[in-house]
Amino acid sequence: MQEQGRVGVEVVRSGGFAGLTRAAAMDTAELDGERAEQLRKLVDESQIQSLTSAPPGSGAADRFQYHVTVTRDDHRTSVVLNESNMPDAARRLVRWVLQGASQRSGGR
Amino acid sequence: MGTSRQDPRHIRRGSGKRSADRWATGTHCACQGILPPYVLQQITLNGNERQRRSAGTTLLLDQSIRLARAVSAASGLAPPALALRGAAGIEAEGPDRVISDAQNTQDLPGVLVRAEGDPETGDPAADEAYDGLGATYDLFAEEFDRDSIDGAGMSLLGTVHFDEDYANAFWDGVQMVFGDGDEELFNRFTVAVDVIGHELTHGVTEQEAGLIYWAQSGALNESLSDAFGSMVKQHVASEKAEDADWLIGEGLFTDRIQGEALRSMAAPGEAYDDPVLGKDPQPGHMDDYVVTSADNGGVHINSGIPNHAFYLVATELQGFAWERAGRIWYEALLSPRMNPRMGFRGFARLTTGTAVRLYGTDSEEALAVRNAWSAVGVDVPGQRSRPGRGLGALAGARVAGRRAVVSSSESPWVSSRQSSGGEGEKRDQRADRSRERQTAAGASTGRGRTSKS
Repeated sequence: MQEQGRVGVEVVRSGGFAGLTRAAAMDTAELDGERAEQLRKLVDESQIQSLTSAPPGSGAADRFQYHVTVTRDDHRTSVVLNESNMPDAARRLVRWVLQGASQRSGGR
Repeated sequence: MGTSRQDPRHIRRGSGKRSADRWATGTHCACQGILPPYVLQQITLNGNERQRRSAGTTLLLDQSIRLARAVSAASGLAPPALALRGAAGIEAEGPDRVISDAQNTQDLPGVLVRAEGDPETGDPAADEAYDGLGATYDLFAEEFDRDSIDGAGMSLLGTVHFDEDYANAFWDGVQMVFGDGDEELFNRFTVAVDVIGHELTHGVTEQEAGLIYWAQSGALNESLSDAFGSMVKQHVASEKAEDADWLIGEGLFTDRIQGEALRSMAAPGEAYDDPVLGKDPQPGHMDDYVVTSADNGGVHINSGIPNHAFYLVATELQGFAWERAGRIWYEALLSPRMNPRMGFRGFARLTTGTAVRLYGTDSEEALAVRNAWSAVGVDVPGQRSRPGRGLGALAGARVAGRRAVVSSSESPWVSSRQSSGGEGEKRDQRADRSRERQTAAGASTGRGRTSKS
C-alpha cells in the first residue's frame, strides 16, 4: 500500500547573488513506482536526519542556502544546509527535488 | 533566443593611470593575504621567488596594518591605510589575473585558460571575467589607492563555467566563481561587470571588516558589494552619479523576464516584477526591514536600505561617485572602528563621523551623509530619522522600525512555491510607501530635500 513508507521532501532554496527564493516538494504518494523508489533512495543516502544545521552566516558570500524538510511517516526533520559545505548525497537529493518539481510545473 | 547584455569588450578604461602598467607583468604574484597562514607558509616553501617574496611580505603587511590601526584607534588619529602601499615600499604593478574553466563541474579552480597578459580566449565568459576583474582592480587602484583585494597585489582568481545550469556567482573566500546561467531566466553571470565588482568587494570587506554574513551586518556586507560594484560599472563608463542607472545585475535576465535588473539602489523594490520571479522584495527604509531566516537573514533583501543611503549621498553630492561618497564609504570600511557585528546604525554613525573628519562638521558632504541615513530611517545620534509616511500618526516620533514579514506556515522562512520574496500584498504596500517617501525626500533629484521632521 502506498501509504506505508511514505516519504516527503520539501526544499526551499534561498540566497545566491540574486537573493531569490525557490521552493519545491516531492512526495512518494504522488510519484510513480520508479520515481518513488528513487526519492526514498536519495533520502536514505543523504542521511538528512543525522545532519546538523549550518550556523547562521557560516556560508560563503552569495552562495545558496537549502532548508530541507523530510517527512517520513509522521516524523518530520528539518535542516539548513549551506551550498558550500553540504555532503554530496544531500546535494544530490536537493538537486533532484528542485529539478523534478521544475520539470513537472513546466518552468522555474 | 535573444539576450540583452552589455558588451564589456567595449569597456573604456577609467582614468588610465595604470593601464600601461597592467600589461607589463610577466610573472605571477601569489600574494594571498586572506588565505590562512598555513597556505602562505606553503607558498614561502614551494613558490617561485616572486611568490615567496609576496607571501612573506603579505604576512608582514598584515601585522603592520593591524599595528597601525591599533595605534590609530588609541590615538584617535586617522588610520594611514591609504598610504600603506607607499609606506611598505610596495609598488602596485597592476592586476595579476588567473582565469580558469571548471568545464561545468564543481571542481575548483578548474583548468587555467587565461593568465595575466594572455590574449583573448574567444570564450566570452572567460574574457568577460578577465576584463571585469581588471576593471575592478582599476577602480580600487586608481581611485582608492588599493593594490588588489588585500592591498598587496593579491592575484585575482576567477573560475567560469562552474557546474551546470548554475544561475549564480559567488566569492568563496579565495576566488570568484561564475555560473553559465540556466538559459531560461538567467544569462551567464560574467555578463554584468557590477557582478564581478560585487564579488571581489566581498574579498575586500572580508579583509577589512569581516562583517558577519547574517542579518544586518550581512546586509551591510552585501550593500558594500553593491555600492562598489556599481562604482566599477560607472568607472568603466566614466559616468557621474547623477547620470548612472544605479541598477545591479543589468543584463543578467533573459528576455523572458520582465525586469531591468536584480536590484535598484535608486528605487529598492522596483527592479523587477515578473510572473515567474515575483517582485523585487527589497525595502528602501527601516520601516520595511524584513525579518526572515531565509537568505542568511535577508542579506540580499535588506541591503536595499544602506544601498539607497549610498545612492542618496552620491547623487546629492554629484560628480563621480567614488570621489566623495565612495571615499567616505571606503575610509569607513577601513576604519579601526569597523567590526564584524556592525549594523546599519553603527555604519551610519561611522560614515557620518568619517565625512566630518574628511570634510568638516558643517560640510556639504557630512550633511549629505546625515540626510541620507535619515531618509532611510536609520538613526544617527543628534538627529531623528524620518519614519515612513505609511506610519501616519506616528510620523515624527522615534519608531523601532522593524516589521516582521513572516509566512504563517510552519516554516519560519518567507516561502513561496511559485516565486521569490514574500507575501505579494504586503510587498506592494511597502513599495508604494517607499516610492512616496522617495518622492517626498526629493531623492531622485538629489536636491530640494524636504526639511527633516
